Amino acid sequence: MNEHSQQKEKNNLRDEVEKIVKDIVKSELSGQYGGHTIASLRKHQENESETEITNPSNHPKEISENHLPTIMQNLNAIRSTAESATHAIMNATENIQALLGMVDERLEQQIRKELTLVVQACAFQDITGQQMTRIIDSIEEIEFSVDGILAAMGDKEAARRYREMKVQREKEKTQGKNKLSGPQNIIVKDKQAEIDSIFEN
Amino acid sequence: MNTRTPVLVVDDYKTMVRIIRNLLAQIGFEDIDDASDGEEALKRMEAKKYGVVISDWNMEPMNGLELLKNIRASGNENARVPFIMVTAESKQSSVQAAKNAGVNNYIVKPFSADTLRSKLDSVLS
Repeated sequence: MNEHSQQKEKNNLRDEVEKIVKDIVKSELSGQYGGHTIASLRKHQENESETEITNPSNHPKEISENHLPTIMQNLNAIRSTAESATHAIMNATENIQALLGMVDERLEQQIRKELTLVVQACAFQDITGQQMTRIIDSIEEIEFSVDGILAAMGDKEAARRYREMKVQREKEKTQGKNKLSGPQNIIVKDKQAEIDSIFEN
Repeated sequence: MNTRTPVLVVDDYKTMVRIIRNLLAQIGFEDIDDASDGEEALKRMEAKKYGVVISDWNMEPMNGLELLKNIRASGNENARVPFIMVTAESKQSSVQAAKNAGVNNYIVKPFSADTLRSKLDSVLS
């Protein structure tokens, strides 16, 4: 391959990578992740803060019917947004990996090394997703308790919700859904070494 | 390490399957299949002989520990397949339970490509 055609291939590769990066930035700005734009999430947060300031009396009924479902909705939105973003990053990474045969070997090794770090970093989404699930489980627990208290105070609507949740929990119990403790902390420094020592013994 | 070894990746989380497949491909593995839970993994293992299984723990309906126990109790040629658990579950009692059930190695998430390579090396060499 002569110098001219090598230069041409390099330019093509550069254009291809530029296009991939532009696509990611564009999809981020147009808010394709989980149907939520950054702007809509921010607006939602501002509205929530205003509600809190103008209505400081957090009656248990208000907590059960509004606050807790809102928290759940926000957490689910964060989870799905992070998942979509991770898939977009993985797609772009795999597209770049597919083009690596077009560059010289030294550059290919360098780019491959950097892309491995990108792929490794994407695992954050699995960890944070699991932690988010644990938080949602805990909020469901609080919701169940609050509805129990409201039912005992004579709230018929809360009593209905409490009964439904109780049936659901029994169902999950008989299906043997065992919820593990999951990740305790994102920082797992030394955890692997600790586990390795169990296998060495 | 023989990178022509067929690998079965078991995880209900599509992102993690993609990550592990990508890292395996970069290490040099080409024959990679995946399953989304223990039951699907057992079906795949009936149809094809794998050289190593890399499995998550927290899946439904059959989790990674149950899959491991099923494999070890199968009494067929799969019973001794190297099994690596890749999970965020890092409690010592859980790790010990997996070890007692016959897991060959254990990787805690998040992990690096180097950790995956070294654990594969230890079970395949």
